[in-house]
Amino acid sequence: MNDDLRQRQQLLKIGTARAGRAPAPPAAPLDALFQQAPADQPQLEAEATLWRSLGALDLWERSGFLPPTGAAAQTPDTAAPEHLRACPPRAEAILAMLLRGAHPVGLQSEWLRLLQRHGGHLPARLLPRMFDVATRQPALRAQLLPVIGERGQWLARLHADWTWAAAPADEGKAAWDTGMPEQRLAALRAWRARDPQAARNALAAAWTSETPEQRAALLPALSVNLGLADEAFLEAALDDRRKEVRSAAQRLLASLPGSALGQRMLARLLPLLRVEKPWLGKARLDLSLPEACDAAMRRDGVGASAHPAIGEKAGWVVDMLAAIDPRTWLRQFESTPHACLAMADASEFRAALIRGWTLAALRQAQLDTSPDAMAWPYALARYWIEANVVQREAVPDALFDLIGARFSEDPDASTALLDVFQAHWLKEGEVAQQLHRVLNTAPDTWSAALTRRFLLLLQTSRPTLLQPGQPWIARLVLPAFARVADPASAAATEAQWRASVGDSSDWRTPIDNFFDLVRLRHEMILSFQEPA
Amino acid sequence: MTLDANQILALAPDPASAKAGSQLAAAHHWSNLGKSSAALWGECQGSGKTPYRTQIDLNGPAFKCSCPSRKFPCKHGLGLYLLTASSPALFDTSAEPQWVSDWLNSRQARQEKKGDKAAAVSQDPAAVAAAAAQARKREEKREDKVGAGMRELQTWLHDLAREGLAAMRSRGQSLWDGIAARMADAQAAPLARRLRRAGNLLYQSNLRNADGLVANELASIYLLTEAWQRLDGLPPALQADVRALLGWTVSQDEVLRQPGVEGRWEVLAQTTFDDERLRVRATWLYGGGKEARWALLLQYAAGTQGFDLQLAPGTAFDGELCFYPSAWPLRAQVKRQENMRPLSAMAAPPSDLDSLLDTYAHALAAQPFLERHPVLLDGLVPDAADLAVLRDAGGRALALHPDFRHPWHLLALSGGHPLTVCGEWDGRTLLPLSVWHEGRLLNIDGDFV
Repeated sequence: MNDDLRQRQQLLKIGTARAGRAPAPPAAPLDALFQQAPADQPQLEAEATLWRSLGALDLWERSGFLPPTGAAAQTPDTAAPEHLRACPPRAEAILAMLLRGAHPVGLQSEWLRLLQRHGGHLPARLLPRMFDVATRQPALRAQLLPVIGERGQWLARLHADWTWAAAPADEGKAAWDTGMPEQRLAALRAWRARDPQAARNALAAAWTSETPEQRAALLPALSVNLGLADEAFLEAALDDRRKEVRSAAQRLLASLPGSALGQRMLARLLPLLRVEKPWLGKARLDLSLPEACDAAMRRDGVGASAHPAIGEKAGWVVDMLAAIDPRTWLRQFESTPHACLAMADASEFRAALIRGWTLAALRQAQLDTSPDAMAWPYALARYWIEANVVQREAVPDALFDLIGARFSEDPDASTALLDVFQAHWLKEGEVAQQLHRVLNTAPDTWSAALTRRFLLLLQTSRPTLLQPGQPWIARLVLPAFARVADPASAAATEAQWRASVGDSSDWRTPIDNFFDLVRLRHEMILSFQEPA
Repeated sequence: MTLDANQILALAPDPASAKAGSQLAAAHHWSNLGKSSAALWGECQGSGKTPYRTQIDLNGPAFKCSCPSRKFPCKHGLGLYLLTASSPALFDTSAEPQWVSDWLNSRQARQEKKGDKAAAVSQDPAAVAAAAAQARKREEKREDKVGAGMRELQTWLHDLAREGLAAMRSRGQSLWDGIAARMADAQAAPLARRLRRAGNLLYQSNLRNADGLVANELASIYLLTEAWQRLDGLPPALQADVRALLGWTVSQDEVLRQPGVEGRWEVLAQTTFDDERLRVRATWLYGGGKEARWALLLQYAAGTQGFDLQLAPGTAFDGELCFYPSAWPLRAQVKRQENMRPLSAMAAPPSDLDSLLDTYAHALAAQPFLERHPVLLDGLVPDAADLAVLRDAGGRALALHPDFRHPWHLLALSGGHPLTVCGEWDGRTLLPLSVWHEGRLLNIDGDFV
């Protein structure tokens, strides 16, 4: 019967005219339907027979449908029970709303952090969408992975695009041995995080058999848990035939405090530097440019980078400075970062010195998580804000990303920096943009104290801010601040702000948006405090 | 009784209203908030000078707002409802102000009138007779038109069978639009829609077995034309089905005049889709008295307008439903609806695969043109190796409908364990519409983001 329907569908496709045969009525018992042709129409036309039999067979098939049995019932692979707590229902509803896309993307990562703090796992119905989102935005994965739970692990193993979320069954050994290049890099990084020595030994063992491209791709993985034990291996890589491998090794050694490369750079640089203390006037750091860049210098990475608006020889100095632990100079000059910057500022080669130190400070802060590592960046940020446009060019923007990323660590230093910002941000758009950068890169909510300090900054600036023509500042800074402010502290000032902003003001919409977002975040935080 | 935030947002006519509504769910937008056992109200400061008066009848829920928005419910109504879900303390219990009680009374009156109208009989016998004669004349004219249309459609289908579907396909979409337009002229609008859809299907390159689907659909239409020609020989209930499928509508009043089915009704699934220029919302209910049954609520809305009656999946209410005449009655109208509350435990008994197949065979025997058949199945495990399939405890495979977009969500919810799924069965495939999961109903339209 089954095939009969297919055959008739085929006949319909070709057409009765072309098929050259009339369709017979279907087999018993359906044939009965075709003998009852009406009296005035003794012989059914071929086309009518075809249609009627198609309809009858379709109904026959649907009403007699029997589902196919699968291969021998194998015990299905099931997900393990969750160990983490359930997500509170209101929090779940908020994430669902965020995923419908009516709100800023950054809130999703805050939501994930809150869930992790709650000790919860994602509700199963939201896993597929979150996996899709994080597949497109790898930055979200670090926050997502701790909350996917057993169900998420189980699900990720089944989807080809989500394998990044599945824990490797054998700790990544197989991925390292036989994986695709990208998987091998991920496996190596994960391995470095667990056991830096073993991972480096594995890389060293495979080193000579890797292609040059692979060597260049894999070497940067050593930045995870980089230590002096890696130095010998990296030193050898400085002589690699491939330029990309050499520069990766140069970068790693330059960011490694106490490396021989750093010592060599210091030895080259010290004879060129001299502190001049005029009898009257400020101390000044004098620099004699190096005469030439020899092979040993090039091996260490001198002359490898391009530095805008800085001469070639001064650029070599930047490369040397960038490879030296910036704390060295505090001992060398018995000084503070602030005083060092003042000495450099008076120098003829101001731009090279400042840029070199900024790069060194950025490198150091990557490895060193102690608040101590932020002394240079804070001093540099302050220098930048107070400097003029030309002086500022020497400092890369990445400095303010770093400040933003670690803004909550040292509240005193951050509060002091906000004071410096306050004096300048309304007058110079460039400063307001860096303030925006600091807000934008904050990984987490600011403390209540820091939030209040920033609100104060806004409030004292209010008379100027509310003048016509300033709303661009509001559009720039307020949305970014709404994402990092401590919601309870910010919401407390709502009435005050609304009272000072007229209904028709340019500020009405930015202020509305600001408090809408703050309130939503407030609700989000509260939603995790309900019992699940 | 109020809904939770998720269910309230499900009432929004579109995502923009949901967003605007959540933003209005903040105390500073509102003044004169209050509540009684029957209603919620408040005044919302909009862009105009006078604030909008927003009110909600909690029994419905039904919304009214003095704002000019034509969306329904509007953002103010949603905002007010969300506000009471998040901060109930803002609402003091008090006497209803005049503007609220007036509205509630008028609703009450309308509700009663609905019942009265259903029972009402016109007084003047002469007028009744005249009207009936006129209606009969109109009716005969329409029957003639439809009859001519059916003959024309049969001829067209015979031509198609002679030339073959493959040859017809090469002649393009306009061929299908042509016959569809003729059916519209013949006052058989549903057939016009089905023919246009069948034509579209033929040109969807991503569809497997499109020819087979089109063949089955056209064959069903052909049987319908034959059914029309021998309408008088069919059982009266099936006659009603055939007429409905050809475009005769039964007025709401007429339906409400039927004896109703009283009881507790559970809202088990809902899906909203576009049908040409209309938006259609299909809601599956299960309940009634001792002989519990399924009911299908079809609502239509044009443009950005919302649907008049708000039923959130995952709720239950006490009330009365009246069914459209049919050989397998499913479609219904809500006559009375009160005491709406979240559904915490499902009373509807899940069926297994065998009884589904039995029931469906009976349904087709009674009404061979059945479009949607509801089912609540338990013990289904998504097949991780073949996402297009769910398996029952015996390992038998149930194919998912090709339109189903969320197999990964089902897999995530199941984790390899059995699921309870509510959906529609078409004789070959299952279209899941909702899942009962960990003590609550997840409606796929909306909850599977």
